[in-house]
Amino acid sequence: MQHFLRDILFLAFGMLFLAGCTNSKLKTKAKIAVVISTLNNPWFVVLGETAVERVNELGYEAVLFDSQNNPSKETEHFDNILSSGYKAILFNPTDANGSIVNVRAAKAAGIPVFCMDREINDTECATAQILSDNYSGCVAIGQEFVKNLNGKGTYLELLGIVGDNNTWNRSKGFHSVVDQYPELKMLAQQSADFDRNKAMEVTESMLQANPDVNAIFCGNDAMAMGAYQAVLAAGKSGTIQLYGFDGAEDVIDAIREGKIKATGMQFPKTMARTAAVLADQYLKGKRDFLQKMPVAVDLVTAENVEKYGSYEKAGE
Amino acid sequence: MWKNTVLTKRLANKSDPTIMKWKRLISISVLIVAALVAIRFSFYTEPLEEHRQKALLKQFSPNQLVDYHWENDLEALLQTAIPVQDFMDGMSADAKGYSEKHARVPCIGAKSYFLISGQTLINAISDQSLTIQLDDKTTGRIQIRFLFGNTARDATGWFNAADFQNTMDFNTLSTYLNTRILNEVAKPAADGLKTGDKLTWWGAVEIAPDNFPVTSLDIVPLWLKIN
Repeated sequence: MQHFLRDILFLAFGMLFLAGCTNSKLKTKAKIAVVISTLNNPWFVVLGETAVERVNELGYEAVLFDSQNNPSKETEHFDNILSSGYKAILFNPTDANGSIVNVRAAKAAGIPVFCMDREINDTECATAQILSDNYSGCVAIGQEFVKNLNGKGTYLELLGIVGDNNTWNRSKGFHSVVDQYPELKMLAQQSADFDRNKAMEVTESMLQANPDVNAIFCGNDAMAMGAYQAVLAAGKSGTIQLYGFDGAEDVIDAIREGKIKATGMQFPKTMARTAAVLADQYLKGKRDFLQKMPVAVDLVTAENVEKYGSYEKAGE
Repeated sequence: MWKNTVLTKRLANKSDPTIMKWKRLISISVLIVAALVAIRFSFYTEPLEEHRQKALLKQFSPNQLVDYHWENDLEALLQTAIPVQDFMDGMSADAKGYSEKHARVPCIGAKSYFLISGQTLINAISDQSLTIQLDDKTTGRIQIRFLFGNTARDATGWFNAADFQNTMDFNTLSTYLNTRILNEVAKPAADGLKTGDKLTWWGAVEIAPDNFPVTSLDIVPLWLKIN
């Protein structure tokens, strides 16, 4: 009889304990960190906000961190995240090499990291990397560029952040086409760090040295808009062709208005949503992920601009 | 009631020889199973081809990797090409469904890659391409002067982005493969060709299924044989 009562008591306590655990789980959502390289660029704002939105829809609590394009700031965020009970990280790195140490620290702490848009030069520590196919996108821009200039003329190039692989994938994709045409000459190439204001200053300076240039290829849309401002100020908005890359709203509008010739539509919303879904799958037990998932980039010109909205296809 | 069974009495008697024997047997079995599990998970298996690939990647540069596959795997690859008539019929009937079954799709997004082959007459020659007829409504342009992008790389299926630490190396594969195709396949074959010649060809194509049908298709040649 004693044993029987003892067993019943144990069972009752066990059930109460379990009920308590379940209740506590319902009250607190698991946290997922969204770490973005900079929120000073509308493209990255869309990436971050879409990731937060999808994470919240999936039933988690999303917290957004801005690394301000500063690897040290990014490391501070990771230190905070690793000690604050986050279950996963959706990550847009500041530097392909410099960010590896942060991802390794997260992996060592058992926290999966899903890179978005920018890669790290390591295939062992991130759980998955969702990246735009920048190279192919800029091959398409290069072909459009050659067609519009009839294979001859002079141009300038604005590069992005030199530590970002996207900068070089875009430039190499563009040059893989344009360098085949010996009558197309690059007069100057300079980095403007993907920044609109810096691009305006750099373009002003390059135009002073090369006033009769025919076109400017910019490694992203923010720089394309900065370059446009410089071209406008120089009174050459009708004569210098401008090309960007991203699919930002202001550039899509500028293509409609004939101010910019073309851009490459990346799909930050697709990348952000994919990363959020993969994190959810991981937290539900899946472990087998493709290390790198390229996302196709579409060429947007005046001929097809009506099919596109800001950062996605129209109607999506 | 269950307290009074023979079994429970025997269980209560710790020195019962039968019980001792069973306990020993269970302990040994558990130890053996634990040892087997430990041995099994102390190594992993992978297919031999995958292992060979990983070894290649560690020792070869992107260019050497292209050379290796071009010299060792091209012939086998060409035999997997889809006859162009089957390809056009399948895509015309259901582009999306056909792509899902037969295409290589290395990207999230709209593009699919195929290897196709055919035997056709050359309708026209320009300095950039050979024009052939793929079906009643579609012409093919076999590129002979400029090759851009990742069509050849992605259609072969030889390479996987996940195997490269950075995508710049992955894209270098395309640059080098395209150069090799131009120098060894396209340009030599194009010399001396004239309109009306019969050509056997194998090539890679990039398709956006949502945009099919198309009136013309660019083909990256992987092999050309003049009949």
